Amino acid sequence: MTTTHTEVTAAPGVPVVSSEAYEFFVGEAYLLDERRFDEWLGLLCDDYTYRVPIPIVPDQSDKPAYAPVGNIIEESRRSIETWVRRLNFSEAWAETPPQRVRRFLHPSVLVSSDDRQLVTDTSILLTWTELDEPSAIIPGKRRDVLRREGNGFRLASRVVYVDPAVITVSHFRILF
Amino acid sequence: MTARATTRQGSDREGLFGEAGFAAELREIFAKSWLFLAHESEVPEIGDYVTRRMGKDPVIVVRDDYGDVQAFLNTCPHRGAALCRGTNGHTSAFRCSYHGWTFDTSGDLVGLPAEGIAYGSKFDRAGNGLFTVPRVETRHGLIFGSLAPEGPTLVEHLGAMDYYLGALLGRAANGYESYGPPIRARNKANWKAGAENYVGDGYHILTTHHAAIAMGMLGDSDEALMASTGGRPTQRENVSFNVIDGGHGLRIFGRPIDFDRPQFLGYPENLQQEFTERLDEGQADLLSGLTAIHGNIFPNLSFLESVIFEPGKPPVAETHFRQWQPISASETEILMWTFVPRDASDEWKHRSHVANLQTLGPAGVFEIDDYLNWAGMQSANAGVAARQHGFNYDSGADVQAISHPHWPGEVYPTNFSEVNQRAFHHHLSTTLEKHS
Repeated sequence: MTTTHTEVTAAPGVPVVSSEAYEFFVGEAYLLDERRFDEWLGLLCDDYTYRVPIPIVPDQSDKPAYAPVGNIIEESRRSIETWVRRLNFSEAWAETPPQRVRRFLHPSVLVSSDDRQLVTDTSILLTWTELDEPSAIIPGKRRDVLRREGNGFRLASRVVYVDPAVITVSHFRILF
Repeated sequence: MTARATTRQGSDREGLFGEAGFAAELREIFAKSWLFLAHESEVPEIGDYVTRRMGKDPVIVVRDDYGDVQAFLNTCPHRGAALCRGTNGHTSAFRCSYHGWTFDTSGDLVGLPAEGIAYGSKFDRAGNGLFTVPRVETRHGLIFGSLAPEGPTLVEHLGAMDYYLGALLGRAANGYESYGPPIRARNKANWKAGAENYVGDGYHILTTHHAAIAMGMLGDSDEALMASTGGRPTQRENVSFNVIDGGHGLRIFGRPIDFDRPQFLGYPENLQQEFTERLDEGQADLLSGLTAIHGNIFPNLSFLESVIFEPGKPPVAETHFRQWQPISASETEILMWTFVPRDASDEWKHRSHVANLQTLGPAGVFEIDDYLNWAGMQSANAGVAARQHGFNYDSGADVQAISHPHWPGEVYPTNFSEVNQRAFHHHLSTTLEKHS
């Protein structure tokens, strides 16, 4: 994340909740949960990027918990469209039948804002249910950049810091 | 060798999926064979370490105070507690959290609390160092270890594969490096399912990866590529081959194009000349004009290089290595690394990594459709009745090895065949039988 605005706080050390960002994200998550992917694509900026860094567990607690180089997922607006397009194939084996996926979002904390964009942190619990398996839960934190467009927003970038160091669901083609 | 191999352990379903076979594999293969530990670029500095497993034994792989890579069982010789619980770190010493025994990066016991009171004056520090992995060797930047004190050297173990790995990773003057740490994913499948896929299964691409191919993920047509590179339709009889040597195998999926000079598709121009100079004729021929090359180093280290095409950009090569780390007969942890030439630009390295992620990363358009097949092979054979049956490994039963002017090992002019899978299972089963 290269945005370097001053951090927004209500009082020293107390983060501010962004209700306008949260409102956007709840609606966005609803489209994803309902598998309305074509409509969801309409929420993305043309230069949208999506990234999931690799969690690591260094023994020394002052070291970063995510690899500075290397990702699990890295996609662009163009490539993420192919995720949606692929679902039209009967040979999209891994996603047929589709997993049931839900996104439970904590209200979004404002990291920075200006007249162009908001940067927010949002805790997420993503539930993943496949076939007749028990549901799995993937917790993480999203760092999102919402760009102002007219009276609303579009999503400019999403970085997802997932908590588990090892993927345990059957595949990771997941929109957090 | 033809092979509706219904009785050989490893090729019959009970042998492939069962607990008894798994226990024998841990004992006779993982505790004895050379196993991949890490890429040397993962532990570049003195004191850098990563934690890995050899079979089910956790180990610490560390660059010691003399600059050499060593590996130790990740357990205190005193009462057995784990020394390192994380994935990686940097240290001058390993201190056990239980009683405080402390070891330097060479594994020597260098300190213990209240030594005089607890043990008197004659404590044998020298006899209480870390349990060392007896043999650790590095080849082409790949660090391997063996829990067996004696046996074939690493180069002897690699056999013909040393030539192919030398081509893949030795063509860059400053070698390759790992682009970040490995991605780790659990697959509810036996470790051999992935290994036998990577060792030579070209056949599954038509069906498993149909969606990816239909979406153009295998890239430009041969005609388009000839137009952009100046190549012409090939005069060669074959452009795709399988190679086996012992339990190792690889598959070369070439393009039916002849080029005026070696074309390392997807690599930047500044590396083309360097690669050509560093490779012998056979190695250059091997890696020129590829769609993909993939294989498995017995038992559980696989690799793949493919060339990825993106509209409006030059093609980019992605090279990845992965390890099928056994957890149980029915579960495997897959460790996935992207390797890039050290001398490529940062921008190219990044593109190569992204190309890897989008195709064969855990969200990749090819990868995700593989996982369910391997897991399904396991769950569909969990019972008694299915395991009374064998498999069909007949593809390419009549294909004959050719005498190749350059390439070592047994070389078969074939694209879709099960030559390599048969060799993998044959080697596995004969190794197990030798020790039973």
